[in-house]
Amino acid sequence: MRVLVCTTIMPFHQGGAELLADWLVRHLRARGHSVDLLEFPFSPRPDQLLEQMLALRLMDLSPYGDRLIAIRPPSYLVRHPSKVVWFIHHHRAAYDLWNTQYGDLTSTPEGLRYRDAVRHADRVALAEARKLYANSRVVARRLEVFNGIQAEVLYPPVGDPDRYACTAYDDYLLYISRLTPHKRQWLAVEALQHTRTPVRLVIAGPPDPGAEAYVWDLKSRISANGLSGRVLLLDRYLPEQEKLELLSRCLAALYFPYDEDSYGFFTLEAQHAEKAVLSTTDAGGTAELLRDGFNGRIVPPDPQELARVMDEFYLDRQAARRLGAAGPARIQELGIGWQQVEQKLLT
Amino acid sequence: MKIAWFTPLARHSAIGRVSASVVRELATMATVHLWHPATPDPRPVPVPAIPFRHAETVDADLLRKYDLVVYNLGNHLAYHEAIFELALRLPGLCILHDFVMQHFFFSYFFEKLRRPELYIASMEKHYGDEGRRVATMVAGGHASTFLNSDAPLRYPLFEEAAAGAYGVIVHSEWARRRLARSLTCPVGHLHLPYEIGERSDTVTRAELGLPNDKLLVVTVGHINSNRRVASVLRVLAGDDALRNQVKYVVVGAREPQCDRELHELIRHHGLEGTVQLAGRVSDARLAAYLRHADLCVNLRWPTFESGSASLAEEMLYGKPVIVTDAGCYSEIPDDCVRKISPQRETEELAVALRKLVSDSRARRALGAKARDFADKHFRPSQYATGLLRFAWEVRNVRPVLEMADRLAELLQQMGIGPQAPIVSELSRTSAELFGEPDEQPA
Amino acid sequence: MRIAVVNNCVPFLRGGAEYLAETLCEKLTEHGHQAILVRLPLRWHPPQTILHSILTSRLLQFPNTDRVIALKFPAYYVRHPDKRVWLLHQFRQVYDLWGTPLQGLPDDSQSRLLRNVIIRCDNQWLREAAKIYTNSPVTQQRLRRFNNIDSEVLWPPLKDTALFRPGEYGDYVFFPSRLSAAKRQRLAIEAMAYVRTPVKLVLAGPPDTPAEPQQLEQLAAKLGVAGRVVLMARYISEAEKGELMSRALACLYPPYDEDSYGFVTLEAYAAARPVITCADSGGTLTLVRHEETGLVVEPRPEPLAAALDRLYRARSEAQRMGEAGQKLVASLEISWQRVIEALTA
Repeated sequence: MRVLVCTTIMPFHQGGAELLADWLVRHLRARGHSVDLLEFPFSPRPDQLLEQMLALRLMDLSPYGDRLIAIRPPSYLVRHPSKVVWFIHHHRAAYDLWNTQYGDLTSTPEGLRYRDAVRHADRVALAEARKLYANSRVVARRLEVFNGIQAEVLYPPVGDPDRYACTAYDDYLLYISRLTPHKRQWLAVEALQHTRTPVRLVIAGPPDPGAEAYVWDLKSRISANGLSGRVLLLDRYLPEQEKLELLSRCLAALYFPYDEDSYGFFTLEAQHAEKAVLSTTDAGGTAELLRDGFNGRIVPPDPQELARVMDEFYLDRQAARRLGAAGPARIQELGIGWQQVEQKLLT
Repeated sequence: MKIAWFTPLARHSAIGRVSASVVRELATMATVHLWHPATPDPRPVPVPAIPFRHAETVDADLLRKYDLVVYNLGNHLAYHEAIFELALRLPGLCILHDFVMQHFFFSYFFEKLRRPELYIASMEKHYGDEGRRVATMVAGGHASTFLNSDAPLRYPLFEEAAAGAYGVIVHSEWARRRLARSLTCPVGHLHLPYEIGERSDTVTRAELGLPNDKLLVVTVGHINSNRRVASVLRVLAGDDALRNQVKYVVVGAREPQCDRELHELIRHHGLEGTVQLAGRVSDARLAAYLRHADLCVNLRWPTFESGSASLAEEMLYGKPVIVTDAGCYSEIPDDCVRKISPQRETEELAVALRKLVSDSRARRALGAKARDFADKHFRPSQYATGLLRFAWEVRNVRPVLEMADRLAELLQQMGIGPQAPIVSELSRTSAELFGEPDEQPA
Repeated sequence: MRIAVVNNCVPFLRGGAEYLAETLCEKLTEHGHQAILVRLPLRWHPPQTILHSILTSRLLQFPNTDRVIALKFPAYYVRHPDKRVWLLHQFRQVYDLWGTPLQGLPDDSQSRLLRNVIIRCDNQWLREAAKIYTNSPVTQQRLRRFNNIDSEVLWPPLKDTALFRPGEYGDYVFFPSRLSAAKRQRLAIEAMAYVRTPVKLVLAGPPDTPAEPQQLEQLAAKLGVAGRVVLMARYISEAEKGELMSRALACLYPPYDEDSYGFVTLEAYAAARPVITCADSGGTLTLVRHEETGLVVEPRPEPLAAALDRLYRARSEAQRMGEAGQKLVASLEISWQRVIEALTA
């Protein structure tokens, strides 16, 4: 099939959406499809929103390809008779972040109009799609609540499922993610203080722009609590090989974000590497992938509770191994895989 | 919410008087700063007043900090020149007090800028070849004939005055419809607000030198030929009964040419005992004339105004008023004022005057109706609420409007005319995508 | 610097310009910049959709980007405070091709309107660029003649010259290019009906339309030359192309009035192959000097056949001209180093 993948980008910013688009193109090509990827720069500035949306809308790509797959908003504004949308998030300033300190649209007469325009355009363009998929249940629910549209959940797989391996269960817990306050790496450090075993912790990932103070705070917590010998903080981008290596040998994985939309790629990666994942009850999307006591543990975001599970993993490696081993089965159960993606997006 | 309110504040500016009462009401709902072109004797206002000399001396960044900037514009260069120039620099909400701005722009381009070619270009821009021809004629020495005729009605140049506005308010439905046809920004109508002060220092009839045995008929305002005072004089001259029953006082400064004409008429018809040209008087005396008036004549032809302060004032005093059935005056309900046709002015004026002079019940009934209507519609508080609601709507439609403006500019650069199919396609697409603006939340 | 290279595209189609744009991004990255390629679809059927493409280019934003380098119509209409243009193509249909069979637009008032719009946009929005480079003297002169805009020639280099190394002078002429009417593969096949030597013709490149390969095959069969014409109707890799070029007798490149000198010419010279082209081929003539570095013939089958025969019979001629071409290219100092320096200055 000739497939056109469309997405918007923030130039020179590598986010989850960009990765997903690249992976999708690669996997569809590997499956013998002829794929072209169109990436349009898009500025989120309110006063530039409408004209850019109009620009996208003026693109009628009908003659090209048998299928168009749109990913990041609002790329789905382009016209195509066979448009399928893999919806990964809203323009959140106009939805759940409307009139909050996290969005740039506020309850002024102008802000309301921008919000309504974005919502209206979304409604029009999403209604045209021959099929709408959401990347998580949270996002699907938002589509239902805000847009009144039903979406089927299609979980994004990792880029290279075959590269993950489990070679050992060493004595360290691994938390890989961007270093930013809402990922709550500090909670892992705090929990470690309460452990009774010598279990160690490796935190790795590039700091978000502007998160310097956060990283500094993390570092000082580690040294102030005498944990320097037990915590390794790699505050940088981790090359793929290094990441895989760390993952293959860890005891279990940690993921403590606050109220996320999706399960987070790291959770999924850990499952591929047959590692149990410890997460919190308020982490949001992780609960879609993890079942407490089956392929991971979900406990309240309390350092002592978390410490207890960390110790358990350390003391009972068989249990950690058993939970980790259930990962691939869980992935299969949820139907997360490129074959499923191909099948859903192209039929 | 912070509002910058630009207005003339000279004592004799009617717009300044209106502003004073509106900002008082606005100040109960928002922070208001009143900016005004510096004048030796500004009217006192109940909000902080900031004088400025020229448009260039005002810091635009400072103005951007306001949530709403309102410019009051009228057909008088000296009062409004600096305000107009600011409006061009920083778009805001524009209150257009006059529908015809021709005199303002004539003075602006010929006297202030000394760039007649800009006047001609503006006339051509808004009225095409015809505008250009007229403008060339005006520039060629026929200005006074043109400006004193009803021709400016056809080339009002409010388009030029609204150039920097993202919303325009006028004071009549008639003007709103007319402006909405030509402007791309939203146009709203609010009744011109007015209020009559409670004065303790009432001037008596005797102090005004008025006889007690005659009915007082009054015309107030800036006396120009379109005030039709000459027509009143002719009617009085032609009806001996009438002229013996009334004292007609004309209050307000007179244009020199008009002044000559009126004196000539009075002399010619021997109306010296009936008519008094009182000229410009103090606020106290003006109020006294209105208070003591039995009947007001408030005619306009041609009608340039978008709303009339003097009419509002007369109605608030509960006076029966005879008006021209044209422009914004037509919009007052028929039972609240007495309307006469501009085409049969003298005949109908004579009938109306005879009727109201002879029938005191009819006078009282009409005056009471006038007061009821005025009390209901001319309150500054109503004006302030209406203005804020309109400002909300205007700001709400702005995002889409601004996009449309940029698009229009783009198409113009591309050399695509308004009739091209792509233009209507773009407007369809925009409407399809962005929908209609929502209602204002309660 | 964070640089967005902006090009137009027809989805799923790849030609020399697409290749050049990608290479430019790679080379910018090699020189320590961050670069992305943004491709804006250009549709021109029906012709009115061109207006949409123009508007899209003009309405999009480039946040987080220090500079844009735009290459083709209408991508060079994008708005950016630091815009550079390396002009590969204007919309020739409204310039030199207007009024020719290759105009491509219906001859009606709508097209005339469209033409005025495009010329107007070019005149205004190309000038926004802080600097305009053109890819050849032909493009440069056209921009000067039609739009009165000055530019400087910046020759596009090959991505990897090492792939094109002189080898044996074989028994086939090599014609690598998209299979497209404007490139005139038909003319090449027709010429094969007139050759008297056993010279062969190798055509390689992706077809513009699905019908193209079959039509060419039918033509070869009809003329009875199918046995001596090899048609590779697909995208061929650089390495494959280098291999084929290195062992060809000569390179054949007879397009109709091309803008650029054609990468093909550079590739041929890099491999010391002479280039056979036509008198009306446009840009190629800036690099192909008749009898010195190749042969320039009338765009008819017979003269073309004569040129093929001549080189087949005298391989030393082919070698002499090919080597002269190699020297010519060296003297132009065409290199990525220069291109990057110019575009990031």
